[in-house]
Amino acid sequence: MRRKQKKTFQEKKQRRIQWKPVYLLIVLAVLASAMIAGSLRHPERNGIAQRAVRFVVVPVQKCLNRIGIPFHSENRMPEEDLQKENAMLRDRIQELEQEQFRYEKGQKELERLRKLYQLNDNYEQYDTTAARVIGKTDGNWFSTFLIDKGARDGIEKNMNVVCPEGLVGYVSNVYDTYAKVTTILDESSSVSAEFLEAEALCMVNGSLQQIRSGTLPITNIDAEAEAKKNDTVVTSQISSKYIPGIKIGTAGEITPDDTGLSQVSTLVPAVNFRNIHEVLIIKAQKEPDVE
Amino acid sequence: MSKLKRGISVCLVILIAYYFQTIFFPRLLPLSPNLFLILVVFFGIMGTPYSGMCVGFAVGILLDCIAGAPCGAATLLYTVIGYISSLYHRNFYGTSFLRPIGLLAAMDLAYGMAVYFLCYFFRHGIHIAFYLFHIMIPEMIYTTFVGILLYKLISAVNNRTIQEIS
Repeated sequence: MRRKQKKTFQEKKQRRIQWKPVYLLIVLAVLASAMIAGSLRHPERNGIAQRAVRFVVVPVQKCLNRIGIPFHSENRMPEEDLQKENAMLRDRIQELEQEQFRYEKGQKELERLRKLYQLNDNYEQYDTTAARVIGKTDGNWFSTFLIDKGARDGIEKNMNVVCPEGLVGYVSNVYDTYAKVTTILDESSSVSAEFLEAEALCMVNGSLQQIRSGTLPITNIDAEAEAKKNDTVVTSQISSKYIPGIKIGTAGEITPDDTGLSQVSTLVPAVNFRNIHEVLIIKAQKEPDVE
Repeated sequence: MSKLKRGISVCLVILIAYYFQTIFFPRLLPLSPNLFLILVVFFGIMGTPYSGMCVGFAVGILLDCIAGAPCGAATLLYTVIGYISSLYHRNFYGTSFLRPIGLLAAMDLAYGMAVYFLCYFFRHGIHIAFYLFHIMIPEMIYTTFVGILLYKLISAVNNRTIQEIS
């Protein structure tokens, strides 16, 4: 009898030891859930722990990132002169492209006898700041990246991020010394856009699926609109997030959608998203973030 | 003291993995393997019953502190993955290679499914086949392959630091 009791006692003891990891799991899970609840309630608040981790991790990331670039760069040119010349020429090309773009648009405006609203000339007129891309934290599921400028450099949430070629995305989270950019490819993104020539409003949606073939879906084009292939698509006046007149890309074939109430198309983005090292952030905001 | 040493060396390994994951992999590969998952699963299966959870928690905290929205989601996910991996700890004798690799592959798939159902299901529910064949399975293959390469290294770190404790 006593033996049996002893045995059950030992069994109990063993069981207690076996259960211990579950207790730890519960404690950690509750902690994590509390964090989720806290961050959902105050998305912008940063705790001491978060700051400490960032203080340690991010500066090294910025340095490492600079080391990493030469390895990646496709044209390794050790001669400084060549690089300088290359950079100069690239700047020149971008300048010319912008000039051409502006010219094209300017002419359109004349043709339309300066209609009631005007597209903004270019984002050059806005105050911009350049930033370097320092990493991609969200794995394969999201199209986001980190840039090396944050709240201290005057970056705010929802600021537009562009490349000289066109729209990249917007600033989705801001931290002290860096910020997270969500690109227009991300599934959560949808940009209110406009055909430059046909003046037809549309939506450019992010899609991981379609971007594999190099395009993004354009939806909600008015059924009556005379949108054409190869028309330039820019951000529209009515977008709440994006400054109007930023080039997004070029439209593809236009087809009526299943319901026949609107037309759909595809968009080839102007920016090569596989190869972004530096971006410009437009410091002007369409609508300041109110939460 | 030796526990502290183990903690510090594991933290260092996590940091190195973080830099590889966020800087070098996205530049070199079209789809990155999930190094964090490799660490969590291997430490879970090789270390003490608590290792997996602790490593998962640390990895999650790191990711959440850098840029997590909502902050805490990665912590929860990786902690649970660490716990599940440590469940297989008892049946594992250190020489068998297949069990940790198989578990790693399964966990990567489970991780992909979790992200899919949490973030994508309600918006793009019908496209599961696309996400399965273009993101989850390729990521699983990449992760498994890198896991095979890193197995010896991680088990060396683990064995060296764990011996000092016991």
